[in-house]
Parts: sequence; C-alpha cells; structure tokens
Amino acid sequence: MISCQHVTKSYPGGFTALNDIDFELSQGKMAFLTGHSGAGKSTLLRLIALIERATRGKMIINGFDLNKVSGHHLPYFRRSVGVIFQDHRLLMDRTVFDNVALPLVIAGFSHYEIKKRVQAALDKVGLLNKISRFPVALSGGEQQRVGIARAVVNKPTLLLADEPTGNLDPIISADVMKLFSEFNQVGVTVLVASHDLDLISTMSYPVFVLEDGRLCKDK
Amino acid sequence: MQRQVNTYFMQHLQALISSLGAMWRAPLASIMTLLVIAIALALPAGLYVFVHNMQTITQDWQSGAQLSLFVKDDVTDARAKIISQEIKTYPGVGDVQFLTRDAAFAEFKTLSGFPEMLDTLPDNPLPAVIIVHPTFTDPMLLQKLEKTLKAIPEVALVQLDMEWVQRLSALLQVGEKIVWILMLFLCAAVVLIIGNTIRLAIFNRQDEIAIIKLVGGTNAFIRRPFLYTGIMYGLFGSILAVIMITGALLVLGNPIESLASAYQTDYKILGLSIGKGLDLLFLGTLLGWLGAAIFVHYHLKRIEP
Ligand SMILES: Nc1ncnc2c1ncn2[C@@H]1O[C@H](COP(=O)(O)OP(=O)(O)OP(=O)(O)O)[C@@H](O)[C@H]1O
Ligand SMILES: [Mg+2]
Repeated sequence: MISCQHVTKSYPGGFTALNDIDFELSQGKMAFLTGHSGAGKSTLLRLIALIERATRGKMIINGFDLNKVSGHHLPYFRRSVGVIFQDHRLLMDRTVFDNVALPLVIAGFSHYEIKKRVQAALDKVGLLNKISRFPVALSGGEQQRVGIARAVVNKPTLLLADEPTGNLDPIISADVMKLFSEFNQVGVTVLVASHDLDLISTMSYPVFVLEDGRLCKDK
Repeated sequence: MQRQVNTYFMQHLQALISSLGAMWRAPLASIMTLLVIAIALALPAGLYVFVHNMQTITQDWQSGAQLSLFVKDDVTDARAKIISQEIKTYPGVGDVQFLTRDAAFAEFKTLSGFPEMLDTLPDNPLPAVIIVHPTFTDPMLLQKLEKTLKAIPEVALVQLDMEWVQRLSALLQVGEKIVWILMLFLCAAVVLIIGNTIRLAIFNRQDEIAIIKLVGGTNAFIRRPFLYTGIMYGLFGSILAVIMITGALLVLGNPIESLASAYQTDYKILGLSIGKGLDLLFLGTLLGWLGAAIFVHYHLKRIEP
C-alpha cells in the first residue's frame, strides 16, 4: 500500500523535484505513473523505496511510516519492496543466477530454496537459458528482465518499476507489462513509471501524471 | 529457531568463503599485505625472543652472585662468626661462609701460586671474610641486601662483584620496555595496514555494496565479509610471523650454541614457546578484526545507494 500526503522533495540548491504530492494506491492495486522527462517520476519512486527521504510530508508504505523507519529497520523495509531500476543496477561481475539470488542470500534462505526461487523467477521472465551468463553478455532488454526477476524473487508486497520497458521492443514491452499485471493478479501492489503512453493506453489501470513535480489529475 | 541458527551459520560461512575467495583472486596483493603484516608482527616478537634469551643467560650468571663482607681488623674471629650466623637469618640470604683471617690467608696462599713468599710476611694482611650467597638474583634486591650488610658496624666493606651483569640486566630491562613500545607502534601499524586493505576492498566494491543496500542487506551482512578479510589477514600474517621467527632461530641456533660451547657454557637457545606463539596468533587475529572493524564502520557509512 502506498499513501503519500503533502510530499515535497527539494534538492540542495533549492530545486524542488516534487511539490506537495498527495497520492494513494491501495493494497493489491496497480497503477502507472507518467509525465515528461524530468517531471519527477524516478524521484517519487526513490522516495517510496526509501532510497531518498522526502523533505516534507508523510508517507505510509506497506504499513511503515517512512519518517520513522531508521537505520536498523531500513533493510527490512526495503525487503518488502521490489524495485526495478531505470539503469538496471546489476552486479556486473556476478552471473545472472547470483544477481537474482542476491535478495534471497541477504534474507538467509537455504541453498535449495534459493535455487528453486531463482529458477522460477528467471523462468517467468524467459531467461532460464541464460542463468549462468554474466550481465555484460546480455542485451539491454535481457538485463532489464534480470532486474525484474531480482525484484520479484523475494515475493515483495509492493513492486516499483522505473521505466521497465525503456530498452525493449514493443512485443517484449507488452510481455513485460503483462508480467506486471500477472504479479498484480496474485496480490502484489504495482506502480510502474513509464512514458510509453501507447502501451499504457492498452491497459486498463489508473494513470497518474506528473508535471514539473506536481501531480495532475489522474486520467 | 533451528532455521535461524542455520541461516546465521551459513551466512558467516559464506562471508568467510567470500573473503578467502577475494584474497585468492588477487594473490600478489594478498601476499604482499600478508608479508608486511608478518614483518610488523615478527619484529617485536623476534626482539622479545632475543631479550628473553639474554635474560635467561644473565640469570644463569647471576645465580653465582655473591657478596663478600670484609670484617674490620679489630673484630675477633669469634665475634665475626656470631655475626655471620646472624646474617644467615636475614631474609633472602641462603648460604653464608665464614673465613677467619687465617683461613682467608691460607686460601689466598694456595690461590696466589707463590705460598713461600707470602710466608715471609711478618703479619697476615688479610681481613676475615664473610661470604654471603643470596637466594635471589634481582639486582634491585641485591643492592638492598648490600646496603643492609654495609650497615653492620663490624663490617668494613661489602663487595658485590656483579656490577656489569647488573648493568646488562638493567639494559635488558630497558630492552624489554623497548619491545613493548615497539609492539605498540607496530600493532598500530598492523591495524592501519589492514584498515587500508579493507578501504581499498570497499572502494572496489562500492557499487556492489550500494546494490546490496538497495535490496535490503543489513549493515551486519555487508560488514561481515570485510571483517573476515581482516581476521584472515591478521591470522595468516601472524602464522607467517611465527614461521619467520622459527626459521630465524633455526638459522641462528647452531652458531649460537657452538659459540656458547666455546665459552664452556651449555646454552640451549629458547624459541617462541607454544603459549607465546598462540598469543601472537591471537594478537594478530584481534588486530586484523580491529583494523577491519574500525575502517568498515567508517567507510560503509559513506556509501548510500
Ligand atoms: N540528486 C539530485 N539533485 C538535484 N536534482 C535532482 C537530483 N535528482 C533528480 N533531480 C532533478 O529532479 C527532477 C526530476 O528528476 P527525475 O529523475 O525524477 O525525473 P524523471 O521524471 O524520472 O525523468 P526521466 O523520464 O527522464 O527519467 C529533474 O529535473 C532532475 O534534474
Ligand atoms: Mg526517471
């Protein structure tokens, strides 16, 4: 669940990337976040994932009051949120398997469980045959899908995706979006930032539009 | 619960293996670091072994220490004998020998090698002598005893013949202090060396650390492999230091023993005892952990996703 009230993010130097955002997405729902480049989509996702902190405002994510999540609890909050990054953020010197396994290793799953879940996640994104490759030996789209597998392997209750189809051709893009709606159907809350308006319009999910750091009326 | 214990154990094992793996993948850098650590540890430890050996040798010499008390001329032999018996009751006094003037003269005659000539002397020029064998060898205590004995009114002169041994022993005490000071400095050096190694390792893996933080890795999880790296460097470095010292003793042992036999002493060189060796391993490991812990704490705080 996502609940933002009067959220503002200002960067040092005075630039306001997000301005007084009010935003709700209930548990188990899926929505798109769109807007021009520089509108603040990535910034909002970073605030929700607590990669950065809001300058002002109140955010309740997955039952955590983000203003109160401090050092010790931060990792456990992050485990409840799966994030797919615009720039993938994979470990280049680890295999696909190790990359996807990372959240499970951190959480202390058994070897057997890790293997089972990683294979299932990679199967879902269609990369089971590239399991022992290194990310450099993958295309941009494949790397993106490794990132998706890593985000979902830990079965988070909230999935955030920043431009997940940025590098993909239309057919695979549609597949990826279908993947997200499948996750949503099993109860995961999903928020996808994207400016692929054509693709968004084919799907019947609410769309939030950001414009210069302000949230416009949703479509 | 069982699962948690297993998980905890597994994560430690993984961290250990990953730290060993990282060392193994950069063998040259690892060996260089290990050598520097080993030398830093072997230096004070080797010096300790040297000082310890010297102390043992001088203690052997000191066990022959004795004080000669020359009795005043006007004291009768009977009175001197009573005094010698009193001295025997002093704390720290073992054996006491009393030589009357005549006995002293007789001894001198046999030792001098020209008894006939001494017979021509009109008078016995020697005083009666009380020879005191202390039960201890500590120079400080010897001096105290010397003072006590000097205070006896019938005693003209007290002679402690061990002054150079004393000086050597005092020197060795200074040496021992130097060992400790050196130890302190070089321990700090080991902490810094390991800290610097860890700093580089963290620098090389900062992307990885950021990503681990992003997907919910705790600080303990991130710290662990680095702590193990520090511990491993400390442990292997100190093992290497023990090997270095033992090797040096093997090389030096024979010449020193033949030197000792040339002086008619049968000296067996003292190596690093197993206890001290283990102390060194423990110290090295502790320093490794400490260096890693300080620097990891400092550097990890600066890496945010
Ligand atoms: N660390 C930062 N310091 C200062 N300004 C920043 C920082 N991060 C982002 N911004 C600014 O905030 C604004 C919003 O950035 P953001 O990355 O959220 O845009 P976006 O909507 O994701 O754009 P895109 O579609 O290109 O990814 C931009 O104008 C950007 O310059
Ligand atoms: Mg963006």
